[in-house]
Amino acid sequence: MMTEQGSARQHRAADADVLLRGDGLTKDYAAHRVLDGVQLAVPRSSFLVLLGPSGSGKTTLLRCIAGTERLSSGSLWVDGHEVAGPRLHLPPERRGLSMVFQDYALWPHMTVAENVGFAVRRLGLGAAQRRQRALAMLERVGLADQEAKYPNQLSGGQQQRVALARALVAGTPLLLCDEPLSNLDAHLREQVRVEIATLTRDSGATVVYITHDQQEAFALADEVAVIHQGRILQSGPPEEVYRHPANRFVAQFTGLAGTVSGEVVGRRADGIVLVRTGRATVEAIAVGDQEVGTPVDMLLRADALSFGAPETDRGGLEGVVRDTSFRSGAYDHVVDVAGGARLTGVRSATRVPRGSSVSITVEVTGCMAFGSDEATNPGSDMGHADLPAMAESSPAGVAVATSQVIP
Amino acid sequence: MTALLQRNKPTGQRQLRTPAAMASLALVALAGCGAATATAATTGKVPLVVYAAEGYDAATCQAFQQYSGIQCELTDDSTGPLDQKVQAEINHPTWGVLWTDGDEAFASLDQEHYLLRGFEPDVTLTAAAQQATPSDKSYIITGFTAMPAVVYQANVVTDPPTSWQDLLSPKWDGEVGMNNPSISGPTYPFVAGMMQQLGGVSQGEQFFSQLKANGLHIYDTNKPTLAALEAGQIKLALVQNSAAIGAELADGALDLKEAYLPKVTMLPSVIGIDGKASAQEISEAKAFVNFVFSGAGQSVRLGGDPEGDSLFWPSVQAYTQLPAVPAFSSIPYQILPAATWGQQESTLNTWFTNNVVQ
Amino acid sequence: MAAIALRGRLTRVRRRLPLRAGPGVGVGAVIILLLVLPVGAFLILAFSPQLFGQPGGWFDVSHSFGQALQGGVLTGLVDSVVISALTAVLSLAIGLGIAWYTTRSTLFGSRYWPFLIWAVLMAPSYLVALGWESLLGKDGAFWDLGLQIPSLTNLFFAPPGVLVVYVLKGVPFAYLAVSWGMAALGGEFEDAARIHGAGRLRTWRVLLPMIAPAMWSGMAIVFAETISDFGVAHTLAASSNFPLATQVMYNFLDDFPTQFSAAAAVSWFVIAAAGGAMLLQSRALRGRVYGVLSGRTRQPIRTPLNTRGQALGLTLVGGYFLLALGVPVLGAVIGSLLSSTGPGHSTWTLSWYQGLLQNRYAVEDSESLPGPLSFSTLNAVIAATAVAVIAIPLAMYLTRPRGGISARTVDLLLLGTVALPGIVLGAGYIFTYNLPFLGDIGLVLYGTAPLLAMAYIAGALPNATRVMMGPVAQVDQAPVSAARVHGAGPVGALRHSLLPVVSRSLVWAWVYVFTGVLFELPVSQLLYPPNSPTLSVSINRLLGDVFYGPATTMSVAAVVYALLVVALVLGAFRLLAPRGWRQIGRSG
Repeated sequence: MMTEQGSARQHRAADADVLLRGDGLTKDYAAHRVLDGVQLAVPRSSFLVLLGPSGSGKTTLLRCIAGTERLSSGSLWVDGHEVAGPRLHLPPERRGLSMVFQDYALWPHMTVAENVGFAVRRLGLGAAQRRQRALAMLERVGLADQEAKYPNQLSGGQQQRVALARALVAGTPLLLCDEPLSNLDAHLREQVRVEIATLTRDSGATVVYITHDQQEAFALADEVAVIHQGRILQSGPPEEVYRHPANRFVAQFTGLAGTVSGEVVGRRADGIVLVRTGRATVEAIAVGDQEVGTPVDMLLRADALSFGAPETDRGGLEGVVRDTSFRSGAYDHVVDVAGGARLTGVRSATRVPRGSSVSITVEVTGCMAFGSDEATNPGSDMGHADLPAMAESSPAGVAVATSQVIP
Repeated sequence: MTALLQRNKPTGQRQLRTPAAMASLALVALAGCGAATATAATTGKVPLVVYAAEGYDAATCQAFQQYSGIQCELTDDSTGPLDQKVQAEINHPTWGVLWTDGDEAFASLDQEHYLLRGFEPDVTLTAAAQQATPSDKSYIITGFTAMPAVVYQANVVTDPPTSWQDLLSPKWDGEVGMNNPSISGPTYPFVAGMMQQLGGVSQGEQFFSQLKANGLHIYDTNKPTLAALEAGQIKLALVQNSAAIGAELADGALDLKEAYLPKVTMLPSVIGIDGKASAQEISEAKAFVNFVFSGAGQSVRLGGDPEGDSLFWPSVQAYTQLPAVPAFSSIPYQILPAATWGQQESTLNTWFTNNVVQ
Repeated sequence: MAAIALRGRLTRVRRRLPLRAGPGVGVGAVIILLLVLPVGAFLILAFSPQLFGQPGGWFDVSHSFGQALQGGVLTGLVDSVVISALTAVLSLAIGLGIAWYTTRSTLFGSRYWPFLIWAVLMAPSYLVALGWESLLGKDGAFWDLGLQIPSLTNLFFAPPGVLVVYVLKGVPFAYLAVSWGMAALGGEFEDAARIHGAGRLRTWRVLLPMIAPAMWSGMAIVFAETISDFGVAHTLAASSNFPLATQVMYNFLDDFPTQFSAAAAVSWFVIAAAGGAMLLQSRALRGRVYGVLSGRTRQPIRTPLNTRGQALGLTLVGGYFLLALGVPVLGAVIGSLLSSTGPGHSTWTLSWYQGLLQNRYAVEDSESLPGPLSFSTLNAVIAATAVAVIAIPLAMYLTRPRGGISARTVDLLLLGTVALPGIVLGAGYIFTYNLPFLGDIGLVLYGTAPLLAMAYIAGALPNATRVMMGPVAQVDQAPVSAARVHGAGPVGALRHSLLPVVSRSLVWAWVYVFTGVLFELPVSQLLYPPNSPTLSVSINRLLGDVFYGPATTMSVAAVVYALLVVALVLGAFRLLAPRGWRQIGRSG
């Protein structure tokens, strides 16, 4: 389990499994609190992605883990050793980690081999051995033939792979990644992403990866933690976070087609509510306690939408197609529905022309109903225990108990 | 795009684009500005340009201007930079009158025929001045200071030395200080003068070496040497007599006295006229020199720098020095031949630096 | 004036941006008139003395190189090269240290120490020497107050003391060269090193080569500045058996007839030394250019210092400023307040200041303080403004990525000018602008105020350009191109995208030139128009005539005046410049 309630110390019995532990991590800049009591327990060899927008604190958290910034309060353990605490701040070079940077951070006056070789120094090997290891690592990222080149002679993708090689070469247990794909051209991103995913898992390193791109996050992660305004709002396996966002922000940040307002007209025992919007009645997963008659906002995932009237007699969302684009072999549509909402990413194998009146079917697993009076900012208290236990079994290697939310 | 294209100018303007062409244009423009600041010649009078290094030169120039109506443009600086300016302008001299201490520069200029020859003011010069005046009358002596006077504090030294050899005795071991001829222009004539009166360069070198062995202190110029005297680091200071007298006038508590050992070298202040100047400027320069030698000019000189350069011995028999300056007749002096010793200045100064200053 | 109007009309579309024909040609003309001709005229004397009427033939090296070799120029050159090289290395080391403390650590007052760097830079060196002498010299304040330390004095007036004074004076140049790069060095480079296992020192061993161009440039400029020094060589080194090249030159210049051709020969040796320094610099860099600051690098976070770190830092940085500024200032101030009548018999007095206010030291009107002060102020303002305008395109030209031979030549010309003492420039101006034929065609510049201003600009331009090269090189071309594409003319594009970035450095460069010209001596002595002496000439006359008291007093008054003007200008910039301008280039 990723996050836990309160500030109670962790059970030591679980320590052996946890490589990175953070307890009450807080960082203040003057009057501004950037990190607010973050709890971390990252299991060994797992891949954690911190997903959040700019200014959410994810970069600060990463830098605090790295040691290039000091915590205001809280404690941090790496591999059982305390690296930061009330009376302790271990400098970065003593923490035994590696990092891949957004801007590659390759030293321009050193060759590729020298850049990678630099990270091997910490192992205390001789010069020849260092070079050997560096070249072996470069081989694994497919750049052994570029070893004598300088960084500015390589493309962005190649540079980032060199950076990855540098981070992996010393075999450090913890690898940090600071939005490594952001500066790459689109067509290179997937390539490098796959290299990161495979090489890190092959090496057995534990990875903490930050990004603002939800697709990237879900593609890479064993565990996703959504972070906003210095707090972790929800964490869990990607499917969990996607299917069962704990609050509105998480839902919105993990990819919505749009939001449609309506009124609860019925409740079912399995946590489903019936919501009337316009002339349609839609089934939605209720997030929070919604009584009949309360106004709700339905947050819709794109993959839950399809053209055509639903088979039931409840009716589909009525709307007009505003835009069509050809993407990855099929068509994405933008549909303005009755009531003023706009839905994007409605996919179809065939093109539905602009201006067509359409009816859209909503699949319940991708439709989440939130109370209309709930602010987008999850600062309001949502309570703890009333969430349906929809925990699913997680991928091997990650211990999961329940999804919970920190208000 | 069209807006950018419109900026293409016809090819005729390409000639102006080379830096050299622009440079020439700029020169003309600047000279136009410069000409505006230069004074215009009116009523046939051109400005008289005076390069002078005397403390009273500004007062003299002002007085001359009032007296004659001739505009006097003064560049006042120490002798060194003035000599450099003169030498740099050698192809096209700007100055009309040069007035500095020491005659070596003038002798050298005269050798190259730069000075006006054959002019002398209508006064009777003292014997010393006549001796120092060159035969071709290319420059005029306007006064003297002695180099050096042996300066001491009367309450400290009751039996001052009476000869140069006295300075070598153990009594004055470590008690004598003098200036550095490489830094202090007036000091070189002292060095050269010792060589002259002792019989030659090697005799002079021997004297100074012995002085050095007897604990001679070297200071940069007049004032540090005098300051050392006051501070008690030395008992005898060998400085320019006008500096010593001036120091005493500035601070009477010092109770300084000067002794003049036989012989001291007389350092002349000298005026020369640019022989290649225009006729108008030459005649103005002559008027200037005449003014300097007039009674009015003399009193301006005596009043212009009463604690410094005004403490000179006049070169004209009719005039007297300031009261603080002793009678000329009481001083055992010698005049150095300018040409001979002028040439050797840098060699001898180097020797001095290497052998005495260290 | 006419030239400026023409410059505006010479426009043409060029493929290379953003420098085009107009400004480039104008700057070229300026360089030729102001630097190439006068310096060239002086140097030519070594081969053709007769060209400017000096003793010797039309093609004759006996009066020049012959005399120079006899005069010990080789020994002097070796001494000068050795001490200048040592100074360059030591100044760089100290400059790097101070730069690290002020730009990358949380040292107390790190925003304000750079002001003191400029103060050291702007302190006129003869005043600094005066301060040292009046403190430690044999008739100085310490002796007067009975605090003499003979061993210290002997050490000071000897090669070690000379080296110390040179290093103290050289640090600001090194600091200015490296501090920009060090501040801009992206944080992730440092982080990457530390995270991957490098300790503090090892990290900087990796990082420093990234600002190698700045370091070599800093050393080159310190080398050139040191080798050209006249004042210290003359006062301190002359008293010790340690002749420097400029002292050898001085001997020739002090002679009568002044041996300009021999001095010119010495100048050639000095330029060769400067050229050697440049060659070393370019070999060391081997053409590699490192862009250190782009729009994307993260502002580095300052290393926090604990109490011990603060104490150490303050000791080192504060100690430097105490020696570089405190001692001479103390010496000058004490000198102006003491009236000495014997050892231990000094009395504190305000009489010198009284005398200054009562105008007692003026022999006549033109020597009193207000006249020379206003003349020098006018010159300083004109020169500073002109230099600020010219330095930017010149800096852009010199920092173009594909520099080529012409840029290197101009760079050598600028460095060479720095390496030569001011008197060479002054004399060169006389030779060039006093040519007989100029008078014949009515082009009378010699003896006029504009010529003095030209010489000031020429003397100040090389250093000001170097100061601007750092910031200008770091400017991203993208915003400039963006401005051009959106319709701004070339000047407008520069104004909107370049100027805000370099504005802070520009203001400091203006201030630096202002104070430099205000106190400039050698060129002023040779070129000031009759009847209008400059400030330094007036002060210098006092030094020649009377004791330290009045001279230091006038100096102190002049320095206070200069500081007030500087504060005024900086304050005006703070108030008037758009806020965004002042933010750029600051580290977090």
